[in-house]
Amino acid sequence: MKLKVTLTTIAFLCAIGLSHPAYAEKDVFSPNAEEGEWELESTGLYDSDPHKDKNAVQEYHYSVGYGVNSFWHTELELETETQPTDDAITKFQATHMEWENIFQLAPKGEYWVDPGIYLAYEAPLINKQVGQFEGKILLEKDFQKISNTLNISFNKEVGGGADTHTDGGISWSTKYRLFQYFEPGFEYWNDFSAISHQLDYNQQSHQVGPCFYGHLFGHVNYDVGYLFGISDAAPRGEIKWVLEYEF
Amino acid sequence: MVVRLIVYLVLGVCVWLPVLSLAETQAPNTIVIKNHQFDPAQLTVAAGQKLQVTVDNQDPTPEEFESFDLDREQVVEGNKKMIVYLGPLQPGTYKYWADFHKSSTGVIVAQ
Repeated sequence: MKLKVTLTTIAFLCAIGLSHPAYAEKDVFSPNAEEGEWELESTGLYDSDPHKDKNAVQEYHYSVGYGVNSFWHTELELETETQPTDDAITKFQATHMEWENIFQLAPKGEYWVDPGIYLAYEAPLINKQVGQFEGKILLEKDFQKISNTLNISFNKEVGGGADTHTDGGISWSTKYRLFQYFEPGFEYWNDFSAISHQLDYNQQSHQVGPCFYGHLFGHVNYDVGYLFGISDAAPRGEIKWVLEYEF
Repeated sequence: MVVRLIVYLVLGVCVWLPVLSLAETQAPNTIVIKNHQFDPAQLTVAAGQKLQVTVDNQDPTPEEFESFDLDREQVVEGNKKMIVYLGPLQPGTYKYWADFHKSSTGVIVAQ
């Protein structure tokens, strides 16, 4: 019971108090769609680093999603962020509106690994930003009570001032389904930047750290974690969270 | 290097998926939903094999087959059937319930 209260408190603080995250939505996507299910989601992250340009970067995402059928989940998301500058933190602003889609390619458990595809378009809301297409290969594999999810992502900016190259990254989540309300695990995030450039390890962003997941009160899913930067390009530390209400 | 690895991974998955899905799949089992109750309420299956369970919803309203033990959450429309792919399961009892009518529960016993 105490554990439940503690976890609920953490989730609540993440949702309202700590509200200040960093650069990209930190959510490892499952390939599974749930037909007829609505969800309201808040995602955020907050970076800390001795370097000014990587410290206090924050990003928040607010979205509404719906399971159109057994193989298609769609979501509309508002992204807000703040970035550090030489002398101050820029004020919060809504930067993008994103349309996300997850396509489940096979019923869960039919194949050795559960496959899916994620396709999204980010439309800029302010002049200095560019739009972006994002695609991900989603793979999930359960071994008894251990669930592993891998996302392989590709991003391409579009519009005036967009980079010409395609960026890529990998994210991995492993969780142990201990209790429905508490599932410990870890995540690994790699942003290897431009695919064609093949940057050195320290020029890429690598992060790893403990994460905790769970399902509370029949409708609330949470995912909270702390990622340690393990390469020079990554922030030294990052708090990340996902809070979701499904109905 | 990384790109090459990803390409190999994706191709490997595409090639092997159909083969792996056919291996050791058990004959289908059926659970009927009628008047928001599962029948049978206990389904006994063989442990250590892949398993197909057909969920036959004979009610006019949709229902969600949900199980934390089995890590499943799938909606079956009213008067429709769906297949739930499970396993291989270790010997034991796996609880499931109807998420839209939580008083309805059942178990799958693997032995």
